[in-house]
Amino acid sequence: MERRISQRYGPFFEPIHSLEREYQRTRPNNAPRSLVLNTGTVVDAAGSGYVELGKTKVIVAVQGPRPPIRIRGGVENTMNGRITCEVVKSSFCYYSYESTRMANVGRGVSEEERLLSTRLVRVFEPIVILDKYPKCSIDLYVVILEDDGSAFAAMTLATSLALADASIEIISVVSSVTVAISTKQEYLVDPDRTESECAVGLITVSLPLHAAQLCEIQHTGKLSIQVWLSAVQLAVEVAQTIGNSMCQFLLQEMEKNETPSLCS
Amino acid sequence: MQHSTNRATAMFAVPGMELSEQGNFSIGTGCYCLHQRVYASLWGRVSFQETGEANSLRIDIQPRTRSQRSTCVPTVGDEVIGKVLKVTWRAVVVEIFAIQEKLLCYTFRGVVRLPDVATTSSDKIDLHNCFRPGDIIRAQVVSLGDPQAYYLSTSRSCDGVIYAMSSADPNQRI
Repeated sequence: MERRISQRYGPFFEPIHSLEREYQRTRPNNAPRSLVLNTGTVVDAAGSGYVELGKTKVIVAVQGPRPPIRIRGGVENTMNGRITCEVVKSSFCYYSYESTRMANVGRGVSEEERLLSTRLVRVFEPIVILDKYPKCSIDLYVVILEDDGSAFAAMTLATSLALADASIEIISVVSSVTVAISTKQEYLVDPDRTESECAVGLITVSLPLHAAQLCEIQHTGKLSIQVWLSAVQLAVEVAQTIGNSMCQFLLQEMEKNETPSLCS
Repeated sequence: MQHSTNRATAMFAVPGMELSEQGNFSIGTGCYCLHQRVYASLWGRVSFQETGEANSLRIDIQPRTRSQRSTCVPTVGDEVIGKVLKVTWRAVVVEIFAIQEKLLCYTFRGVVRLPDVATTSSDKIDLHNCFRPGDIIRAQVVSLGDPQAYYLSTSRSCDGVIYAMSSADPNQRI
């Protein structure tokens, strides 16, 4: 019997800056990586979505609206609908230097996974029309198969696909993109792993497509206000193009499904 | 942003798509109104229905369904069908599995309390004579109830037990 590897294996040293010198970005700075979308990936779920951003791969399954499962010890007295989320990183997924140093919260949930799930709930709480689902809970199950940078943006895209697939009423499809600011003050849209680890700052913007609003801005690193503003502006533009292609995909899927039934 | 005047794409909607200005339209399922415009909130096929009034159409979106079971949630006034789980002196616990003849993905817990069983002389009713565990009943949702269960009522004449097995012979239907 092989023993189960309990320790996460990641890089044991902090990334060195020579890594950046050798690295060359192959595509233009403002171009995102190739995007693969799919819905209905998981059979048993009410709705599911799959997104590939370059090598980053994320599956989201939505269960619900269903009566909330009562957790022993605490009776929950909310009459509002609510969203719960569980993020799991696969064991062969890449763990950054910081995430391997993060403490395990217990029961196999790491600090990083818990952080990602609270962020995802915060993005989708204003988007889902929770008034229509009183007393019910909508559960999101996220599996990050591979993390090659911008995993949170991929999670947001996959979740909005899954919510649309589950016929849960949402205000709009949510689109999201990450922009990295490199040491040479370049704006790199949709950075991969090396780019996001060598970056000075990382900004992730999520926005509902058809309303002139933003859901969330996440920002790490130290940036001047001008740089920050222009990076957010760039992110919003790219997110809108990604969101438009997502809408096109959903419409095409619908037409594909409807056509055979009309013929017969 | 596509507009509904385009006939080819008007058949299908994506959440957040602008369907029309408010004007002569009323909102059905799967739509919401914001800043005097109607937007879609579901992914599905758009249908326009005449409501009977002059110059008014109702916009509905039928969600794309993969399974036979629907994902709707009981609301006040819905007619639901459920199975009796437990009978006590005060209330009957019901497991709701269908709303208006539509099967649900998940079952919801409902309670028929003693005053809601019948309209008249509810204090004389013995609930054990009215319901038995395993009966299938039709009821109406009167309120969202407490966090554990929906409150149901069987006081209408068309409500009550619709399917039950005989206690003498378990294979015989009453």
